[in-house]
Amino acid sequence: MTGVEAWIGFDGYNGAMLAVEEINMVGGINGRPIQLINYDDGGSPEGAVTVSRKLIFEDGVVAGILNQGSELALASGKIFDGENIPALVPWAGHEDIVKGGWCFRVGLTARAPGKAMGYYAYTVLGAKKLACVVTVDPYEESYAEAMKEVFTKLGGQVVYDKLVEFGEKEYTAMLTEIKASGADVILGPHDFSMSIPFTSQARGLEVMTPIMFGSSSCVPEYLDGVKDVGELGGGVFVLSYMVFEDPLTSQYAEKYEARYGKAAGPTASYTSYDCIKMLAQIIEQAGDDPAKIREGIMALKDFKGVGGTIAKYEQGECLKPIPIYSIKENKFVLAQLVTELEYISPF
Amino acid sequence: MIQQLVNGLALGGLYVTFAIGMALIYSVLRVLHIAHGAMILVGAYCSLLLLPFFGDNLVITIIIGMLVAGFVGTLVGMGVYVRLLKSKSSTKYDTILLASVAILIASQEALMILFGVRHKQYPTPINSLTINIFGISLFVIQIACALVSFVSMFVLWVFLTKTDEGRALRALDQDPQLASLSGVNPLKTYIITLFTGSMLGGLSGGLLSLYYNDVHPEIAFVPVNIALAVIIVGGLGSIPGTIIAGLILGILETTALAYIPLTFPRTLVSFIVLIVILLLRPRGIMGRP
Repeated sequence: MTGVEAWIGFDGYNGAMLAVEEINMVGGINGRPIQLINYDDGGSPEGAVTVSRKLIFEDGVVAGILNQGSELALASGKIFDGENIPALVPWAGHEDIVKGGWCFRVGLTARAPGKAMGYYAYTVLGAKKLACVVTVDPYEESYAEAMKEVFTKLGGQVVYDKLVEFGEKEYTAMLTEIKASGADVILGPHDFSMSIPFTSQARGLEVMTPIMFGSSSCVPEYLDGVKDVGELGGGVFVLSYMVFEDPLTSQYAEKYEARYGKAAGPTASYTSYDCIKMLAQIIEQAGDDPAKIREGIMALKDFKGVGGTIAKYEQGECLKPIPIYSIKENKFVLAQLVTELEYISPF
Repeated sequence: MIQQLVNGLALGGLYVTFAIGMALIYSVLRVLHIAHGAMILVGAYCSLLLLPFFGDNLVITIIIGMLVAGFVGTLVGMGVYVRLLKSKSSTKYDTILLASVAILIASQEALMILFGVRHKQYPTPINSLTINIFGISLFVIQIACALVSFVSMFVLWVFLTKTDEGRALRALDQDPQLASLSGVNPLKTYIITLFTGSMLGGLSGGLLSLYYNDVHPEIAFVPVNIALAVIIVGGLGSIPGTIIAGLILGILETTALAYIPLTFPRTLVSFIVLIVILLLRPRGIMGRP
């Protein structure tokens, strides 16, 4: 809840707290109220390890919800795996987080949305040449790799590929090169603080190619930031973790806004809310033994969350449809719900 | 290629706007004013947050941001730098540098507490506005930055050469002791310098936040690093050197980003140039020996 991405931590905490309040309002789990224990990892893997140990050894938790960032969740996940305590991963997307057997993702791994975007770019947008400007970040690099794999497997070609540091806002040099490369679709950096100047500079330089961004750009701030760009040239397509048109999701968004006086962030609050609800449901049925909770998660089917319906778990990964939104009249409009198993499975 | 050169010049113009106030303050106080980043933040936050109170008039809020940054910078400078400069301690410049870093960090944290951690955007963004001249796209904000740099340089030149205060400032820059003996009031000169330098910092904060359409406590981090590289490469305290260095670094960074197929932080280029300059010409491009 401190560091560069602190706002995501706060957003996730707010979502989790909302679920705790709702559960406690109807009597808690089997008559016992839930207490949410939350520690600040300081935005560092070292901090993540320290607070995970504290949760397990001092607070004696029977299940946990991991940190929002991939690097942090990787560090925390190893502690939970080592101590055989099940943990849910609300937002972090790096595939290695769930490989230890005790961590389960509620959001999406990086690979699944990457594959869905590669499929969408090639088959729906009809693009044949892909340019990538990707942040140095385990999650983003992973989904970009998956997107490139699918795009090239389908017959496309990667004509420009550049990694940038997190926080980079100057893209004019790269966009000038992309324009010259003849790319007909661009994958841009996913964080909205970076995707806003990326979009503005692209359109300012008359790069009208469709641009795709990851889920961190599927936020009102992105829309506010690109208001002046009009219809965004060849279109902007943004990945999301949840279908906003789903009544469960839209009701949650309203509840969040009423409770906190501001809109929920892109995904962390939705999936953190789902983590609490899912754990509560499993503990209610299976009790609070960590091994039983783990079995309950592995056996879960068709869990209807505000962050999408989880069909089932496979090797710690949940399978759920992946929505891609376009922008029309400064609003996110569902362009396609990718449901093809081949392109929503991370494997 | 021409578009990349224009991109580089435009980026350099932005760098000059960050660095020029810092260079001015160094030229008189001999202080590496890292807290200049706080003035960039003051300018950015005022430009955005005051909009609803002034009918969304950006020109007014940017000017107010400049003035507030001017006042804050003067208070910081007089309350911390000038006070510490009077000390007889042999480590006073180290202390000032540390104090300056602390002021920047404290101001970032304070803004985070006051206005939250989420990035904020302008209600009516203008950052994609461009002018196309012979197929070359120029961003309006970048043109504004270039104009600001040019006008700032001109006003500074007039101020330094045609006014009594400016002449006093130059005298103090060249020989503080002799200037004092000649009746130059150093405190008055410090105030003018701090106010002017900080106003330029506030202005660059307003323009920077508009160009990237982002207001957040961490937006000053890169500009301060760049400004440091620019004023050292240009020659500490040299205004013309600062302008030349800003433009050179902007062009080099753009060229490196466009043509070197490796991943590296954009600002790395400036710091490599900084190290090379320090090794080959420690006083910078136009610094005094």
